[in-house]
Amino acid sequence: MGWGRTRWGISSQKKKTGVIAPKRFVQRVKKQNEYFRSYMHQEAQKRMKIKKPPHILVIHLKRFKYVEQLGRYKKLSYRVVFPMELKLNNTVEDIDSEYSLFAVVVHVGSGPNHGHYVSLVKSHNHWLLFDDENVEMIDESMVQTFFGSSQEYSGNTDNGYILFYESLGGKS
Amino acid sequence: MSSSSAAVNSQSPSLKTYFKTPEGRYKLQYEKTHPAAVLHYSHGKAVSQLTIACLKERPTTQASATPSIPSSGGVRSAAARLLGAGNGSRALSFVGGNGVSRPVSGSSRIGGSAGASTGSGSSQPVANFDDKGTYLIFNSADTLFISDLNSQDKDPIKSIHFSNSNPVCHAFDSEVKGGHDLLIGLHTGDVSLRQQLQDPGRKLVAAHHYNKDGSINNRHRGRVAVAGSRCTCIAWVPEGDGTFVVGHADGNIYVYERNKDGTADCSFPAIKDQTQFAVAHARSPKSNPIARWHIYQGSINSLSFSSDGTCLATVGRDGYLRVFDFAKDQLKFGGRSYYGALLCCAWSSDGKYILTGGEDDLVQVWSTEDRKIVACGEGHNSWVSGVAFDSYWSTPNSEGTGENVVYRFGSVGQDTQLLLWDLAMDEIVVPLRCGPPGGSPTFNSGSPAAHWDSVCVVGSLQPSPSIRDVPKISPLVAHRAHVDPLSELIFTNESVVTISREGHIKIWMRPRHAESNESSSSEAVVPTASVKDRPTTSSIKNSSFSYK
Repeated sequence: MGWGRTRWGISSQKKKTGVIAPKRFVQRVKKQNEYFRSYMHQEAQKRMKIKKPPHILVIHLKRFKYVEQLGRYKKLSYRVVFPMELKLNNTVEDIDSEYSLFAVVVHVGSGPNHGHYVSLVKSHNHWLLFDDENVEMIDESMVQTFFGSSQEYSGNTDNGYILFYESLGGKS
Repeated sequence: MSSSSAAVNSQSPSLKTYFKTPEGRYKLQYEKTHPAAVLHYSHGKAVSQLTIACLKERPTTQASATPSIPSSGGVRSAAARLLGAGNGSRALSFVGGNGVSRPVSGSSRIGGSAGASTGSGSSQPVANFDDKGTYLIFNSADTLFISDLNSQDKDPIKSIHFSNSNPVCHAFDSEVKGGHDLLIGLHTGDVSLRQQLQDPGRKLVAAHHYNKDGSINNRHRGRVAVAGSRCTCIAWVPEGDGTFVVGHADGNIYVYERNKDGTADCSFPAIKDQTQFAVAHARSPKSNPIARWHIYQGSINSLSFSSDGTCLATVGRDGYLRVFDFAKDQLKFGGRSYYGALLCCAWSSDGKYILTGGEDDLVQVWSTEDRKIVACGEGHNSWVSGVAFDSYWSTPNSEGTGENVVYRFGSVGQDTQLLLWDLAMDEIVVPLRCGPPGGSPTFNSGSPAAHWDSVCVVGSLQPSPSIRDVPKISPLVAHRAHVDPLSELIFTNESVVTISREGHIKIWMRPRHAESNESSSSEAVVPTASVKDRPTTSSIKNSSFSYK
């Protein structure tokens, strides 16, 4: 469950476009290996692997950041492309575990202290948008409108915030 | 100039106006965009696609007179063809009033005056047109724009507004007889065929209209769909004598003939099994579409014909590339992404290789002879939205390597990057045929490698490749080209053209052309600062090491 500790630090990201990719995680460990190696002056390797891939993988995007000049938190609407499917390949058993996105919590609003939450849930192969007592069927392509914006000040403030992936079983 | 110029200038100043490759610098030559006003409600949803139209003058592009338009040189007649269609805002002749030509705000060249519109004897030179007659066609929100590839002008010279539905895809064929050359697929599932480009200016723009109100696929109408299933991709069949195909979000491809009336009633049998590939030909000879290809039950994201028109490749939501023998209605082979949907595909000009790109952030190279994946390109940090072979690229023969064929291709993605790749076939093929090299500490020598040596059965779909077994390639150059996610790239003889989802276009001149054009371009200001990102020489990494 190494994922619980992984922070997708979009706040530190210079580029305002991002993506959820397991390979970032692996690259970070690779970098650490290089430092480690030069420090130890000998061949050594440090790595992190997922011992047991979870059945439900929850990814929480850190969409809020403290801005010192303002003395308060700010919402980050940066574009983060989250895939409908993903694979974790850095598992102990070397078997890719495949996941499928089935729910998204969306924060609507420009600031961290106000706004509204809606959720997208995939049910029987259809995406449903839950907004308080309103439930609406939406096309899967609509999910892309919640990725965020590549421009700093756009009117789009509906951003995916918490992502829920379900394991499709251990098949490669 | 106009508001649209401001939109481009507001882009991040950190973007470089050039990128380096081993053969030299690619320089940003021109930028094209559209009036910013169209964007206001399209955020995230509308994706701009790009088509390049080369207007071929029948005699030559030199100063000789064209037969159809006396006293008009090739230069101006090409311009007049476009301008002619832009005279005023009259409703077009086809039903529905769907698509009204109107002058672009901020472009004074068309204006309201039809002065240059006939092109017959107008003595006023059209300053913005050179002799190349190459135009960029792109959609943004509810409008289709046409820009001159070789002019400095940022603004489009013409726009076609669609009042009922957004244009989502388009295709152009300069070989089509009779002038109807521009196909437009709409969000409603309608298809419009127009003589927008090639027709001499004096005629009004006429258009055929197919699948009116999405009539053929109305029965799949869901609560969400507007009417019918939306078009996702459209293509002329090369050498197809006016045949074209349209891919839809419901997993169907319809085959049309240009000359047949699109209004006749046509029906196809209900699809028995949504998951099975099936081709149904229309019973009535009058029917247009003439055939329905049901590929599977999910969206068809892109399709591409081999240059001889014999083979059709499709990619879709289920992550499968499918390659069909188009004449025989047969699946030749198929294969799957590492995970997620595939979004784009492209053929090499010799028909031997197919590129795919998708939501797994990878660019995959497939061999049509071996019917399997031969290489996997890692370099994008987000979805790969456009791939293309550079058919103008020739291997530098100065090194005398002779035998080694190198394919150059490019890809663009939602990470705002343009990547160029070299594919050296001798390096690719050898490790595959010999099987994975042993003795690597990290290589999983277990079972998954086995299917590489097995013969791939004709007509079968293969599962996702085990990513550890596929040879990896790295990009030759990675360049952050735009501030917005990119949607497509096209190689031309002189340049690489990239377009963002929002409809901003950049034209990157190839090294050999950049020098000669430098003086004429005021926009391509090249900083003299030293370059940090040196291009890395591309090579196929040893597959045993490239395990992630």
